Amino acid sequence: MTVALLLAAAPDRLSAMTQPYRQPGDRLAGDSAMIDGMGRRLLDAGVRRVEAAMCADAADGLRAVADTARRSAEPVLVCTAARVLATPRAALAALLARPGSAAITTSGTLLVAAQDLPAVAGVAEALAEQAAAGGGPRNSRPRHHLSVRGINRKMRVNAELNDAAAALIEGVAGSGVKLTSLNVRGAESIGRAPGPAAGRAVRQPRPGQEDGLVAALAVAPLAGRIARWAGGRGLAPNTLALTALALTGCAAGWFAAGSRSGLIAGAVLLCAALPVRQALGLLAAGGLAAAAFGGWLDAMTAAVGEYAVYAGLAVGWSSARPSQAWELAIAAMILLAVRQMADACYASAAPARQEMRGPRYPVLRLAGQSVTLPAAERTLLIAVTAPVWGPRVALIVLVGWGVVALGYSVAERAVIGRVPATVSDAGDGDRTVRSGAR
Amino acid sequence: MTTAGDAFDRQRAGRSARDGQGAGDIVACRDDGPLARQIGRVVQGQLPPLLPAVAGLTVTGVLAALGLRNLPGVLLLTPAVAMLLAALGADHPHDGRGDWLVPALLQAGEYVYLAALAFALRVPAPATFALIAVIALHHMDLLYRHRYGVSPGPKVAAAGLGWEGRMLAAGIGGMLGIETAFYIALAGYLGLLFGWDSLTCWLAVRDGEDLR
Repeated sequence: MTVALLLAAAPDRLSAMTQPYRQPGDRLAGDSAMIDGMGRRLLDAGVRRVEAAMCADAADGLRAVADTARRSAEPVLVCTAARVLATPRAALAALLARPGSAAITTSGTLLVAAQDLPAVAGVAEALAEQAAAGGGPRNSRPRHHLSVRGINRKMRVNAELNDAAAALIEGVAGSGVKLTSLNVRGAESIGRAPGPAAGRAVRQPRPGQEDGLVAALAVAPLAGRIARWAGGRGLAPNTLALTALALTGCAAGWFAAGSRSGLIAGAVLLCAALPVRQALGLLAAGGLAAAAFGGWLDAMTAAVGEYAVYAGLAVGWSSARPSQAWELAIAAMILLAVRQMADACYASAAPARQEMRGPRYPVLRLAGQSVTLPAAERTLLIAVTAPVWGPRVALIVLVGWGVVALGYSVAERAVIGRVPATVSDAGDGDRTVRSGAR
Repeated sequence: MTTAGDAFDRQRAGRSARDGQGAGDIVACRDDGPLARQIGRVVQGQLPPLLPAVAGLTVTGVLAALGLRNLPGVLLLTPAVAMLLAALGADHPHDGRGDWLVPALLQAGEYVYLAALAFALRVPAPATFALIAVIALHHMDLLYRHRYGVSPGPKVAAAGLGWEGRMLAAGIGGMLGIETAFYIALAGYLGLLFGWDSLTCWLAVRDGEDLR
């Protein structure tokens, strides 16, 4: 059995001194949700007990490692929250399955075998002294002063702890302890790469990113080309997400101008953002944590961009003459947000069911998805109606179709809910899950 | 008689039945504030959450459609108080067949009330748009954070007031006649709170990848 030592940032130095150790589930101040989440993950992976060491700086963390290593008689897993999050479940399980020798995963979680504990304690104490003397962990990178990390204490401490854990691994490797490097490419680490669903990271596509006639027939070929180009240039998916946001923001600005030429320019920019956004889903996202961050950034930039476009349309319309522009823009936004929330909750709650429509008619299936007004259809709708009939018609159609889409998807799911779930075919898991994710 | 342990077991059973933490996802997406949690504890999760949420949303929707303009003073709070019915389901594990609808219903009730109140009191529409956009982005953020086990801490959740807190606060702001300033201040406050919390959390998540 194994004890996991989770190095976490204490809310402040005083609480780090009075409450140096915590267990997941303790109702105390601090980053409890994070500790609970990571603790559950570790316990699920097979750790017997999780201890969270609340640290005020890197030296605290290293001293906690030394302390635990001296006290414990069983193998100790040393990790920080960020590292646990970045370690696929399969890699954690593989690490815990071999308690006979010290080992690390590619994402920097260190398992110390029982016989190596004294040596590791020695290394940790030496590093702690060095850190307390002001040297900092050896490989600590210079941090920018004016950054979120610089301002936010918890982030700064967490970054220090990550560096300390890395320095500890380096020190342990240098001290003569035999250290095995595990390279498990767990199913979850596939991240956002296209292909069959594997693990939680890709189980639920982001709300709003779904197929439809436009996305499948018009945007996909372009997106593939952009993804190849970006892959060749070494562009990260996050860069593409920010590019798409910038394009959408410019489109919103042109829409706000309200003139015919402005509306046309906005429509063109909006259409240009579409394949860029779809392309970033095709780029591999690195590890689990990068995929999580990328997925979040993608969803947030998409939502911010879309709301900005609605606001732009409302400004463009209301500058012409007093009207119901903002009311309609707010209604469109509410409809979209509520539908996305319903979709996400349904996707996470519904048991996998077999696809209602057979895969024999993909066009029909895509058309059915188009009724629910996915992102590509929304974009095209705005890009066509706004320049031709003006922002007024664009907003009215958006609201009208939004109501239909909401009613359609809720009704469809209510009907599916009445049909008893058949035993789903494991090989068809991707399709069955996606049916709930519009 | 139901003990906390029973409720926990039921929750676990619900979760395992869903093959994962789907039901937990739904509870996290409700975005309950301190008041809703207190109310939910009264019935200890015995009440299925869907019906109260539908009832609350219906009352809110009907009152909003009738127009809040003619309601004097305290009556402005009626829809928000009616929506509190939905808080009775807060402690439920949300493992029923239609329970996935509950967060969307709560969200719809909150948005409809905020929008109807603003239109009735002639709050500048851009301020209303900004407030609702901030809350909608927060809900999407919640969804992602719960999925990766980095949900906001109880302090931030309480400071965000929850759906019921925001509705009541907006209603009280309207009652006191400071609705415009209140909407702008609330949008700014929530934007800063949620934006900062979310940004620091996600940058910390990304830090986990820096080792290689």
